[in-house]
Amino acid sequence: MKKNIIICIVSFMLSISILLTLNMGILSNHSQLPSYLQYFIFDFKFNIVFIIILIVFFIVIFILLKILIKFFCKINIPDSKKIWSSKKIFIISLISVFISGLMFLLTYYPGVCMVDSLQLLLDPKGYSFQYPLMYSLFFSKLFNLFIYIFNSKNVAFFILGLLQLIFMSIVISYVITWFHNKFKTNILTLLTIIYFNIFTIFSNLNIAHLKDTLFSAFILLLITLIYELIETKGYCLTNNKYKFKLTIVILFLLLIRNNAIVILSILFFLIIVLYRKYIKELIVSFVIIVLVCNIKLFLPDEYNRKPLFQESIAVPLQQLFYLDYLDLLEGDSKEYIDDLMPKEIVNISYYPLFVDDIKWSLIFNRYKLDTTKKEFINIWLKNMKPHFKEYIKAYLLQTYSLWSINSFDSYESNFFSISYNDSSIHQYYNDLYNKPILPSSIYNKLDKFYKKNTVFLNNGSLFWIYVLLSLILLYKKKTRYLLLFIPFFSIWFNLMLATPYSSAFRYMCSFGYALPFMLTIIFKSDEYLK
Amino acid sequence: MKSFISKNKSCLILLLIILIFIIIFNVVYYSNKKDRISIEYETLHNGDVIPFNSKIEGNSYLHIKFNGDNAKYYYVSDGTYKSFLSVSYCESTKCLENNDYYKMDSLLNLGDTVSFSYDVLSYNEVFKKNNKEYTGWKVYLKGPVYSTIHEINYLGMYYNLVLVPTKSEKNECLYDKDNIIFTKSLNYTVDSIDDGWKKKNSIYSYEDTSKNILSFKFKGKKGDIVFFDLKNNTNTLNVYLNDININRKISIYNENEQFNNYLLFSSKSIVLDNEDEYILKFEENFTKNNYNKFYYNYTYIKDLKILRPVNNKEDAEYYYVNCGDDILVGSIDEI
Repeated sequence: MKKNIIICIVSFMLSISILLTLNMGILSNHSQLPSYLQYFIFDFKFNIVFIIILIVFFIVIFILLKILIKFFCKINIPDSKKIWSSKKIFIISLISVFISGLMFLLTYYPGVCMVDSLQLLLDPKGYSFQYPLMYSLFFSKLFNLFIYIFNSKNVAFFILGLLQLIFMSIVISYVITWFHNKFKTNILTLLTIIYFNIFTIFSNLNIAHLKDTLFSAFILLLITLIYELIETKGYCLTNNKYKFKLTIVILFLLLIRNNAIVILSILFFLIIVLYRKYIKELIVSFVIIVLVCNIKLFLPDEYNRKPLFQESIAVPLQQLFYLDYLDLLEGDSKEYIDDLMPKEIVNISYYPLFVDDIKWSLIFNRYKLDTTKKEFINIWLKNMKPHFKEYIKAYLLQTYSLWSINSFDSYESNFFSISYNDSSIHQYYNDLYNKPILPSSIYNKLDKFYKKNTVFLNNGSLFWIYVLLSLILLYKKKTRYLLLFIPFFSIWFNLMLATPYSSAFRYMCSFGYALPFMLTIIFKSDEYLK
Repeated sequence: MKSFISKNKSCLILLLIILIFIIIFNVVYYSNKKDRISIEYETLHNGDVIPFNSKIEGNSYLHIKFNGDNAKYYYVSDGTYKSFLSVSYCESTKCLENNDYYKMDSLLNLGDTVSFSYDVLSYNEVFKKNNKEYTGWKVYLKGPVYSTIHEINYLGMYYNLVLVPTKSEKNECLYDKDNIIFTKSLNYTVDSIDDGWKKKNSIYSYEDTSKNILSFKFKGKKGDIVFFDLKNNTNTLNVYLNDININRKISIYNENEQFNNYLLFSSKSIVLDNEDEYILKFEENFTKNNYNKFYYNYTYIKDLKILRPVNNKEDAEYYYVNCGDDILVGSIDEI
């Protein structure tokens, strides 16, 4: 009964998601908007037709989900009779993942990165209000060291990419081998190795200068540790080595991404609730985590930059500027928002799917926002009741690719060049640029191939797949193992609260990295999940 | 206790390593830290340095308020990497026109206030002044402005610098009759224009495409003045006169070597040596990454004139004055 209620809820949410996705672009009264905006405005009414369609969708999805879950529940891949040796698996994975990445790296020599990467390398403490300080400092120092050694920014950048690729190859191979030893099925291991090589997106991410790639590596390691925790019912927490490994992984997650604290808080809370008799075993780890979370407090003021308020209010900002764009603001709200950004600028820069066009505009008065936080919150709350429908629309648009199976673009999802988000940085990196070192005939073929094939499921689809996988576990009465999904759902919820750009795959690439392993767990759950 | 230590040996070692790291980090930082000097400001000239003391240094944003007195441009730079200047709002004057928020050439009146939000990163340059070293940001006030700093407020991560106008020395340059050259403008024709360049209201602006050249052809004589006034967010625009690069070699901000290649809000005039057919070419170098239109599409040629000196004011259309750092060109009706 309980299971059916949960499937009902999921079916209802998925029906709404699909229905809203299909409604994107159907318009009647927004003809005054520029064409690219018209496309993104929802225009539907909660009338009887809508409700009937919703009910039909709900019933169809409910039935489909039930069939799908039952189908997956029946799949049980038996153990291989002769298990391939761990050493062999590790070496095959390592070599294949490394070579795939190296091909990418050589094609786009000296490497690829996201728009902020070069700023982080140049000024780690300057960007510490937005990016994790230790991560930026480490790579900045390393980059400068390589420039010093090789006397070339291109070579230094290439070496950074190469080192990351080596690290990623080792971690992926280690996790593949770990799963191979745990679940003893050659075919699943082989498919996992193929997965990391056939989807060039992972070769791309493995060489790209992104904190998200390394974050995903530590999420993979965390999954193996959580599995062990569930399997031993928390007893492994008494093991010195296990505690050390867990602490190290958490430590790096915290150092690599600021929002790791949210993810780990939820996970830690559940670990404490589920395995409370081992709580005292976590005291030192807890002290380390608290220390690392607040490490900036122990460093000189220069390294302790306050985060900008704008970084934590992506959704409220989009909601208020949506109202401003549609001329729905009045009185002091209008005055306040006009002070943050003049209406003429809002008209040309407001983009419903991307808050950065507002909050990182040169015109945006972040000084005012930071000094009038209370006023901003009051204005946001004040407009919520009269413009609730618009708030919902703005929220759905801002988070669109997180809940929809559709996506509008691939910005920050794949990386083919050294990107700059600020042209003036060129003068510091004027000799750092992509120049093919492969023969042009090979380069052209590879470039064409990579640009066409470096794609993957969008964030929303990945989320729904993970929901489906957790439903299967639930159906199989392996509820304890749902703890494995907590890091992923925490990432998703965190993004739903404050994502700057919902379709950026890099934010949720850990879902992609972990997918074959989560599928392995599902396929082997009958035998191994107790 | 013993069992606690043995059970948590590895984690305790890790904790110890983190603590040692924090201590070493602080020791290295404070042993390398230079003394910062705070000074009083009375007047601020073009190119003056505003040094900040250690309390202020290292923060993210500088909020600057200027009170202008017929100033043409205000320009603030950290002297190194990031040199953004943006208008947040204007009071009591219409300083923004045609939705052009980067075009800062509207005249301000005495007492007007314009606020600028300026991203200041931590690239503090060490400047030398009166044999003392300062770390700070360099302030450039282009045009006839002569101001005093009224107030510096420490506001968390922001600072207010309010510049109050005083008597302008630079304005006097305009009224020095010996300096004024009366001129009339000559015709020029567009020699070539790529799709990336657009003309609107006599302003050429560069919008991103792969094509990037705009050139003008004219017949010049010895003594003619080629004047252009442009804005470019970085040093990505090259200007050539008959294939000789003219915006890199001489910069109006050439007091400091680092600025020789740095072109921002730059105006320039060249006095021709020979009678010849000339081609003036503007070439944008930057390849856009298609991220944010605001960051890239604002190269403007605000003004372009080929001026020929005339003998008397009656025949003149424009005046031309070289005021040291600043070149003033305006309609003859202004004087």
